[in-house]
Amino acid sequence: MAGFKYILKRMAWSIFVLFGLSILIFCIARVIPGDTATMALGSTASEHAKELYREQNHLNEPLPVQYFYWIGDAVRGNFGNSTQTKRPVATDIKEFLPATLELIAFAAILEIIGGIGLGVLTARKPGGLLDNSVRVTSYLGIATPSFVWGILFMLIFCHWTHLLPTIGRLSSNIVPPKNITGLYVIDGILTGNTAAAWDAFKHIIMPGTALALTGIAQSARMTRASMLDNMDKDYVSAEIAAGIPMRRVMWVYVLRPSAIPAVSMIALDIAAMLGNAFMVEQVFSYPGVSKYCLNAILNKDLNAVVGVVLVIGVSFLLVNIMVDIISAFLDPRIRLQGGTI
Amino acid sequence: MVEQKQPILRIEDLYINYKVYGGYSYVIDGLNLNVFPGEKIALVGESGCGKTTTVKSILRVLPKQAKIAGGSIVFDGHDVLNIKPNELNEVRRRKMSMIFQDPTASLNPVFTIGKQISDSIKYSGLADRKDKKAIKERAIQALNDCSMPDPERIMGNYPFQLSGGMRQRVCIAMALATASKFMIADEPTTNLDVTIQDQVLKLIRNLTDEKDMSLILITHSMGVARMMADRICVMYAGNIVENAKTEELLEKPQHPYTVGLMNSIPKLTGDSILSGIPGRLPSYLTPPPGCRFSTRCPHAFDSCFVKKPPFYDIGNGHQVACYLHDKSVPQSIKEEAVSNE
Ligand SMILES: Nc1ncnc2c1ncn2[C@@H]1O[C@H](COP(=O)(O)OP(=O)(O)OP(=O)(O)O)[C@@H](O)[C@H]1O
Ligand SMILES: [Mg+2]
Repeated sequence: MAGFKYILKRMAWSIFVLFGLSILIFCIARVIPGDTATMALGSTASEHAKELYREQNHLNEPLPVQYFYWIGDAVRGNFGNSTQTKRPVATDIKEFLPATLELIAFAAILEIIGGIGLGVLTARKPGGLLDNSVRVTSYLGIATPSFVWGILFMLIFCHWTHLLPTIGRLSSNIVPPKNITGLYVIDGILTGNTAAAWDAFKHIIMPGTALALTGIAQSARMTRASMLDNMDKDYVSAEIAAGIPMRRVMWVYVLRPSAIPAVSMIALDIAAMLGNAFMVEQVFSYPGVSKYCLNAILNKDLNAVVGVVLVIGVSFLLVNIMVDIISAFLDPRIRLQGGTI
Repeated sequence: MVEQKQPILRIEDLYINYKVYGGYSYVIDGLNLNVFPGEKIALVGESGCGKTTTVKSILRVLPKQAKIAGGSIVFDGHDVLNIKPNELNEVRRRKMSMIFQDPTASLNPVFTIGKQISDSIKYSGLADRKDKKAIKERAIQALNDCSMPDPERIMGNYPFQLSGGMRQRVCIAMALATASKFMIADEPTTNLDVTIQDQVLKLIRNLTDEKDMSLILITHSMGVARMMADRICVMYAGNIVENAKTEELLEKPQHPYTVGLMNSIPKLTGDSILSGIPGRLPSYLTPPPGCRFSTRCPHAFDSCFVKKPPFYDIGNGHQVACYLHDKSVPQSIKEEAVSNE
C-alpha cells in the first residue's frame, strides 16, 4: 500500500514537470520565433491578412492567455500544419512515431538483456577472458557513434553477405499489415501475416542494434561495477557460506540490489533514443519520427518541432514514472519509506 | 575438550595475502590451528591482526583481492583448499555455519528476513526443499530460539526495519538454524548493548552445547573469552602466538604480547584490549623478518629479529611462539632480555 502511495506521489510530481515543459515548448513556439503571423503566412503576406490571422489565433491577447489557448490545442493534438508535408503535424506523428517506437523497443530489449546479462557474467570473473574482451569491446562500443556501426553493419550484412535488407521499414514487395498498434512486427503477428512481421523484423535488426550498442556497453559496465561493489559485502559472503549455489547468489541476491542504478540509466537511455535515433534513421532511410524531427528543424518547420518535442518530453516523463515503479519494486527501502537509496 | 580425538578442523602453515595498491599485504603468516569436536575456542587479538581473514578462509569466502598462498585446511575429512565446488557447497550447507562480523552488512537489504532464512534452510537439507510449510516452521523456530519477539511478523520485514540488535539475532538464528557440527562467530556481540550481549552469548553457548558443536568465537574481550571458551588462541599480526586452556592462559600468560594484553585490562572483566601495549601492528606490506611482535616487544633480543619463532610446547597443552621458551637459548640471554623493560 505504501508503495502505491509512493507511485501516486511521483505521478503528481510529474504533472508539475509537464507544466514546466509545456511553458518551455510554448516559448519555442511563440516567443522565440518573433512574429508568429509572419512565420505562418510568409513575409510576403499583406498586413491585413496577418492582422486577421492574429485575431483568429488570439495572438493579440496577453501571453498567459495565449498560453491557455495554445495548451488547449496541444492537449487535443492540434499542433497546426507542417510546412514540409502540408499535413497536420498530428497526422505525421501518428504515421512516423510507431516506426521509431518499434525500433526503440527492439533496441531496449537488446540493451536490457545484453547490458545486464554481460554485466553479471563479467562480474563473476573480473579480469577473466570474458571480462577483458567485453571491456575492450565496450570501449569501442562507447567511443563509436551509432551511425558508424550502422554503416559498418550495412557493409557486412547487406553489401557483402546479403543477409539483411538495407533500407526502409518494409520490403517493397510486402504489403503492410492491417494497422492495429502501428508496430509492423506486432500487427503482423496479430493478424497472422507472418511474412510481413518477419520482413519488418529483419528491417529493424541492424538499426536497432546500432542504436543499442553504446547503451549495452555502458549498462554492462555499470552493472558490473555495482555487482562487484556488492559482492564484497558480508551478506554475499553469508549467502555463499550458507551454501546457496553461486549462480543463484549472483542472479538473485547480488543482481537485485545492483540493478537499481543500472535500471535508471538504461531507462533514461531508452528515452533518449527517441531523440538520438535520427542518426540511424537517416543512415537506414528508416521512416521514423526522429528523422522527421531533424528535417523539421533543418526546414524551420516550427509546428512539427513543437509537436515532436512535446511527444519526446511526455515519453521522458512516462519513462521516469516507470523507473520509479521498477526501482520501488526492486528496493523495499524506496517502496516502504519513500526515501532514496 | 576431548583432545585424544582427531581434530575436526586442522589448519596448517596457512599463508594469505591481499593484493593492495603498490604490492601485496602479507597478512596471515604460517598460521596453525586445531579445533577438536565439541570444543569451544576463542580467537583473541587486536583489530587488524587477521582474525576475520583466518575464519573466512575456512569457508572459502575471502574477498577477491585475497590469495591463499600456502598451507592446508582440513575440515572433517575435506581438504577445503583443493575441494570441488559441489563438495564445498555441501560442507557449507550441512556442516558449518558462520555469523559474520557486521550485522548491518550481513543481511541482504532488498529481501525479507523470511526469504533469507528460508533460503539457507532450504539449501541446508534440513527440510524438504519443496515443503514450504516445513521450511517456514523451521525458520520461525530458529527466530524463537533466539528469543525474537513476534517471529511471524519479523519474517515479513526487511533488514532496515529492524534494530541492530534484532539484525544480529537474525544472523545468529540463521547460522544456528543450519549449523550441525561447526560454528564460527565473528564478534557476534559488538554493537549490542550489555544486557543483550550477555543474552546472545548465552544463546550461542547453549545452542552449540546442545548440539555438541565446535565453536570458533572471535572477540576483543578477554571477559567474553573466559565466559565462552574452553581454549583461547591469542593472535598477533597474522600468527597465533599463544594457545592454552582458558584458565591456564588467564592465570599464566607466557607470550609478552599476551602479558601486555592482560596488563591492559583491569581485572579481566571484559573491556577492550586495544590499548596498553605501546606501538602498533607492523606494516603487512613489509613485515619484520623475524617475530612479528619484535618491533613492540620489550624483551626482544637478537634471534627475535632474524627468524620467526616456532611453537614451543610448555606442557599442559600450552603452546607459545616465543624464543624465551627455546631451551637452546642460554639462560643468561633470557634473563637479560626479561630484565629489559
Ligand atoms: N579486502 C581487503 N583488501 C586488502 N586488505 C585487507 C582486506 N581485508 C582485510 N585486509 C587487511 O588484512 C588485515 C587483517 O584484517 P582482518 O579483517 O582479518 O582483521 P581482524 O582481526 O578481523 O580485525 P577486526 O578485529 O578489526 O575485525 C588488516 O590489516 C586489513 O587491512
Ligand atoms: Mg574482523
